Amino acid sequence: MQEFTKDDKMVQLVQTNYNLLPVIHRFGIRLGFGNKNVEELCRQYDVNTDFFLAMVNTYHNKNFFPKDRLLGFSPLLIVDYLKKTHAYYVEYSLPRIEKLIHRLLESTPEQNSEMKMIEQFYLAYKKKLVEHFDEEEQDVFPLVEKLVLRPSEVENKTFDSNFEKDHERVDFELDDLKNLILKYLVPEYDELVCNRLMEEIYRFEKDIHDHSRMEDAILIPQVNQLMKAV
Amino acid sequence: MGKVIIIIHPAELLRRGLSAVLEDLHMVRIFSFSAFAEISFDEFPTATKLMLIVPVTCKFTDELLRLRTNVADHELIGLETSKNETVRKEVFDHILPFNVSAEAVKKLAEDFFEQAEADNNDELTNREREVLRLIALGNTNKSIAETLFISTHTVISHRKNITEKLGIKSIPGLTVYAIIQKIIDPVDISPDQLS
Repeated sequence: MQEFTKDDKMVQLVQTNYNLLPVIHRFGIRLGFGNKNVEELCRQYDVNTDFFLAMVNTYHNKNFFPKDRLLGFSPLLIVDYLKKTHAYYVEYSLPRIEKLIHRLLESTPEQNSEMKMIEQFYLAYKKKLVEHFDEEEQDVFPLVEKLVLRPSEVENKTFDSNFEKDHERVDFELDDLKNLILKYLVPEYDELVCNRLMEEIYRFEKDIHDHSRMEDAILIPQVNQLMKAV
Repeated sequence: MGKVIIIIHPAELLRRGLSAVLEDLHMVRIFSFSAFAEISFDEFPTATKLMLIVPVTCKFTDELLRLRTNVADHELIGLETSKNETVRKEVFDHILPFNVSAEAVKKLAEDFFEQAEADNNDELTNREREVLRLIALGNTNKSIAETLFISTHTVISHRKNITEKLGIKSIPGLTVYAIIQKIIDPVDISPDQLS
């Protein structure tokens, strides 16, 4: 599969894979690309080109995960990117899925009150996920920033993370949500709403999988490494 | 979720050839690597059925063992590349002779992956429904074992079968399924059962 380079035109990235648009936006890069290439636009928006390319390429191609190169980036860049993805999930993806699930359930016949359980399942899932994000933003990300910027202030020298476990659970429950809908939804529902919902869930799944992988395989090893150095 | 074939072989032509022979298999994803070190393990967390094709002379490294233990339902296929290679035959589920036909390789993979289709009946047995009901009501493996007078080991094995049949892994997911299927009544579950 292709790997995007700094000489590629930014518009080509989106034309190749429109799912990259949210990733590009996360970096603060706005439309109006003209014919500028990746490097030019990154410079214009004050974005680290190599880091941008690494994020875009890992997102685009799930077999592309240059671990050594990724471990070489500053943890601050990674934390910043992860925060922006959290914000995207919390402000956009999760509420949107919630709204679509609600509309889907409203479109099923009244007697199917059991279907409300799927909505409850999702709401519980969302709550846990947001709690997990909060935990990372309150405990892990500030720790990373401290380790890099003011290592002498780090008091607790041990770092014990259950995040890999949390991420696995997040994966499972999202899978379960898909199966509950795909296999056990009653046949009377609004198909357009359903199509949009499933599209949104699959896109979110891919996004969060990429996100978790960045945390488990890159950020956590970096934190452990920094801890040893303190 | 998924059926996965991983081919590990230093020879690129051989990898490509095998991939081409196997690519028509229904719903099976194929990955090939020149060596174990090339594999990013994060990519295969959800394989449910795994066929691993390696040279018969392959060393049994940690990576290989890890791949195998990650996926319970797997087969290890040894590929001979010349006559009379000395191998520990017993460690492989099948050995492909160096002059094996493409047809035979395909048949082997089909047999392995279709076996799953055959027992892909999602009807739960009565016992499994009972175990599911107890899970949904918030019981631990231990208390389910005590209630049903079976060992916890048996409970775990029932849970594994339930999950495989339904495609639902988490306790909240199983609870919702049990309610949808009217195995339990929503009023019987505690509010935190979904969290």
